[in-house]
Amino acid sequence: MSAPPKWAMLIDTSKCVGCLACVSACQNQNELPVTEYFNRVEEQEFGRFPNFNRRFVPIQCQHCDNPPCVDVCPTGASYKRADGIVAVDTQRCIGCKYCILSCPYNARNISRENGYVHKCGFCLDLIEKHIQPACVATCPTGVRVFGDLNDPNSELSRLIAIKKPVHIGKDLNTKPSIYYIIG
Amino acid sequence: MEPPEAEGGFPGSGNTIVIKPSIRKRAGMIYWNYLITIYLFSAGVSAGAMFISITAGFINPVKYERIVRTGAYIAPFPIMAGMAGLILDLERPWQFWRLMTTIELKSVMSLGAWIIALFTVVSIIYFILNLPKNYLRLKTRGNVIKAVMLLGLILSTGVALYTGILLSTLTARPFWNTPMIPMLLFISAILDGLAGISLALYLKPSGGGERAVLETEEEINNNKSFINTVDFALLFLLILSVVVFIIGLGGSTESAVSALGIIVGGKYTALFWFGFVALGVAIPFAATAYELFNQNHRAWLNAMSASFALIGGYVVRSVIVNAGQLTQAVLY
Repeated sequence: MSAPPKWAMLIDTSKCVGCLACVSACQNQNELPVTEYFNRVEEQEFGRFPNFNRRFVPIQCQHCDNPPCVDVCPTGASYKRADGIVAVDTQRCIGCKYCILSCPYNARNISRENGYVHKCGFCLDLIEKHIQPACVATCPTGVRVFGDLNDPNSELSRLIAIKKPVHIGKDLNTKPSIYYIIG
Repeated sequence: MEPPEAEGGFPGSGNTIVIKPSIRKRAGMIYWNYLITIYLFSAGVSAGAMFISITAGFINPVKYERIVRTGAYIAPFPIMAGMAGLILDLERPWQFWRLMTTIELKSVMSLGAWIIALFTVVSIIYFILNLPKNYLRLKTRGNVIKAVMLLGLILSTGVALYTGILLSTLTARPFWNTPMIPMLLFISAILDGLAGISLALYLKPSGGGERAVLETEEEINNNKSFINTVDFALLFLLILSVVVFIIGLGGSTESAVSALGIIVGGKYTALFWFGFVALGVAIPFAATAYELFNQNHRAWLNAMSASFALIGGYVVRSVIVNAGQLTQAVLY
């Protein structure tokens, strides 16, 4: 019997071309209105002419192991699952928006239609059926690798060991489950 | 795709790194609006009035009777209006009762909800205990009053302090994530309560009957000198808090320095320096110092400095609430 899963993702920014297919796939999968999105792609330009460059950095809920959004929730609606996913019990959410402000990654949305906070849930209904999350499956350049951190044979575990990825916002002590190769 | 943020300039023109959101950037949105500012302000006035009233009562309930009474009459009401604002700011206001069925020990908001609920109850009891004797048929023992006062002192400190801690514990928001925010808001809250008492004392028309007999020259001087002394000391501490806050952010991380920019050259520069520092701190400080050191009590000067202090108290909360939301930690 292997250990229960601990879901995580590796994002290789050097492969990202900024097509935003992941954003659309996510909105489609989660039935979001166009003004709400669980993931986004930031475009970063740097350098001085003629030596300059740019990169695309996809950002979403980091499913932190020390999630500030869970700590600040006054009703216990935000919680951390044993499989690493940070989720919201929308029934218990009163819409105080404290968690939105506590998130360094700006990963949380208020649902204007329903009045609760919702967010990336690693497409839990898909992974339970052994299907990759929508953003991972749709990415045309293979930026995203999703897998089980507790399975030493998963592609994710191997890549994390080899590529030595980093966390973004590391000094904020959030201990994210999303690993980045900033290239 | 939207055009880059104007502040970064032309990407190739320097060593600066420009982050362009490829889709609408969620940072820089206001989630907590003026309702939260009103709440922070009214909670501050209530907590401050209660704190000053009880402190004066512990020092000398006979000598400072008017301060004790006025503070007790003010305390319950602003916070009730503030709580209404707080509930209306929820996306699901009718679900607010969930705050009162849970205690999340790690959530400052959960603890705060309990603190303000208890504070309101105790402030109402304190209000009733301070009604003139002919209104009050109850026979209360001195020990009961002392216990209510002690509880009220603890709870008013809690209310005045937790609002700052609510903001300062968010690492995502560098403008808030400094220990000076709770100190600044605490001192400002006590000052706002004092200003409320001061305004109520001096704007009250000197009526006839029983009150007129009580209002001797000596009584007025006693109350004024208490208010001016506390005002002067707290305004001095507030000035130090502002200085330390600015030095603290300015000498910290890249996130903190860029967050500080919003009040030093950025969007809220004029509001912070003129609305808060000049109007709400410097002018009341000068007026209080003049009164205190010249023993020259003028009702209009007192009323003006108290009104300015209240305006400044609102402005600083507005600036803090908005600036914290418009700035964020640098991630990569």
